[in-house]
Amino acid sequence: MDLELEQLTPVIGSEVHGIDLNQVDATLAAKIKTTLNERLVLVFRDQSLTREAHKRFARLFGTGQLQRHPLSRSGDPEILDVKTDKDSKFTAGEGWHTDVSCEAAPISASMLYLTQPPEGGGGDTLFANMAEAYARLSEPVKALVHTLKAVHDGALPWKTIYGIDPKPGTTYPRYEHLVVIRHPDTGREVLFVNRGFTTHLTGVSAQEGRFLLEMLFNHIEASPQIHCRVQWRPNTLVMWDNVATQHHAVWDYFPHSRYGERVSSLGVELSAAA
Amino acid sequence: MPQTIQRKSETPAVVRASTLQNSIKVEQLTCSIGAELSNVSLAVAAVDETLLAEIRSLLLKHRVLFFRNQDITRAEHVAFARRFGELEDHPVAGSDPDHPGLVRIYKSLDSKKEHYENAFHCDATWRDCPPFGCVLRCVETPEVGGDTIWVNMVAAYEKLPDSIKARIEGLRAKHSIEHTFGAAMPLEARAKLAAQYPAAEHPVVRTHPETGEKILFVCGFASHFVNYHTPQNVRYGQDFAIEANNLMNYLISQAEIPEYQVRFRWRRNSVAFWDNRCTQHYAVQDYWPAVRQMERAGIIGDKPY
Repeated sequence: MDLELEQLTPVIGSEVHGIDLNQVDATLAAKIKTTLNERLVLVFRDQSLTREAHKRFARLFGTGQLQRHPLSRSGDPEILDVKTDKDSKFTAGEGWHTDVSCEAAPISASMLYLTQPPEGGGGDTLFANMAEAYARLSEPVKALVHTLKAVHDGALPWKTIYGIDPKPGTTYPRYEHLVVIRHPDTGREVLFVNRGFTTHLTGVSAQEGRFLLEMLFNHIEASPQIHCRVQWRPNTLVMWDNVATQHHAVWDYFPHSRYGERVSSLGVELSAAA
Repeated sequence: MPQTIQRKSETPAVVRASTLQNSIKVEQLTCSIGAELSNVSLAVAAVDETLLAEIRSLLLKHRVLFFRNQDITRAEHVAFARRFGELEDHPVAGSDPDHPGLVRIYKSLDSKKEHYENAFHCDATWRDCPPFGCVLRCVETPEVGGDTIWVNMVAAYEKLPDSIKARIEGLRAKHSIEHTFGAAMPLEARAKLAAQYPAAEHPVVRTHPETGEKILFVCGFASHFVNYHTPQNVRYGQDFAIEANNLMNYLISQAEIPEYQVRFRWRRNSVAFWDNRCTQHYAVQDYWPAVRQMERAGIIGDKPY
């Protein structure tokens, strides 16, 4: 059986019809994985998942291990509660980013199950195809970014968004990735810098790095031709390839509330694009 | 960034019982901008004062209106748009020979890749009087791809930090076709275009002539500020280049903020009607090579103030 798919845009995102995520076996999981490699974002509507079923589905992907999130308030570190309401000072996922790119082996795929979209509408999520972001750079810039490395620091959001300096002795993941990595499954070249975690480029001066990074970040923000915009309904699960995408959670629904739970499958260590 | 939004249940008074004849149904597409109107034909609306008044007030409220299944003739398309003003031709894209003012934006399998699309802009701000709005109809489209994004530039202004609002008060900018459409032309053709359409000067913050709202009015056509170089702004020459450029880039990039946007997927006979005074748009060219045919009636507007 082939998956019944409906594309959101030519380069990223598909809705997958007719699948109950409680009933996914190894064969179906392999098909989903193949489709995810190609489309990067899959949207499953009208699901009915317990936390256990959500985790069971996620274990079918990546290394089979789930990310344990230090900020989870759900009572289960493998379930990250994503909650925004009228008292929120910021929202999870504001601004374009790749989740925890500061790890040597970042999350392979995430599955966000939204049970409560904002009651007045809004709260869409945008995704960007970062292989296409790379492909749409001009040739001279491609040649330049291929030679560069960037530092990704888990402390960056703490310092810049929350305004909290890490306590002495606390360590956050920090890793130097190539700016252009090769996707572990498809081998595609992926532009791998993001505003959420990338602090600086190495091998160039600080000043050069600041402006080069800004140019690359703006390339992502100003390029809707590599984006899709996903509209949530209650009980929609969206699965995304975390290595080859960035995402941006739109907060246009204040003072309404939005609630979902994310489970993430760990991935392998990233390697350089040859 | 807290925002004031209107709940769907509270909007809008114009949703009438569907049993009424000519009743327009309204569905908001995002919290910020855009509504899909159904149960209305633009051919009928063109000759119905009540429907026209309703559409006009919905346009002011939602800034871009979408209509599906508008299987109307070119003459009906033009007739609807003409109810809002005179139409204008475009110096680069040609018009339909039998229907002046109906600009053809046609892509064929031979069209160049990513030519004029993929930039946020307000239509024709290089004119002294940019369009009031446009009525764009989809004649042919690929099954996937070619979406258009609209941006609410009233919200973009309203949400600016107060410090930025203070800095841009009274600022004016030049808008140039030469720097945009002309950039891809040979030098001689580019110079000719510039001579024919000299750059226009507009306020950076314009006022909506019907609602009085303030609008952030710089886009990709804006090339530079004309009155930034004052003793207050510029201590040394270097300030002028860096500060003015940074400020211009910052203002232009506001249209990229997804919180102000709606992304619309076209089908054959879909129509979008936007208020060009308070929105920007971005035609996503992600379908090359494919046949895509759009027809646009651009309605002449007022001089921005």
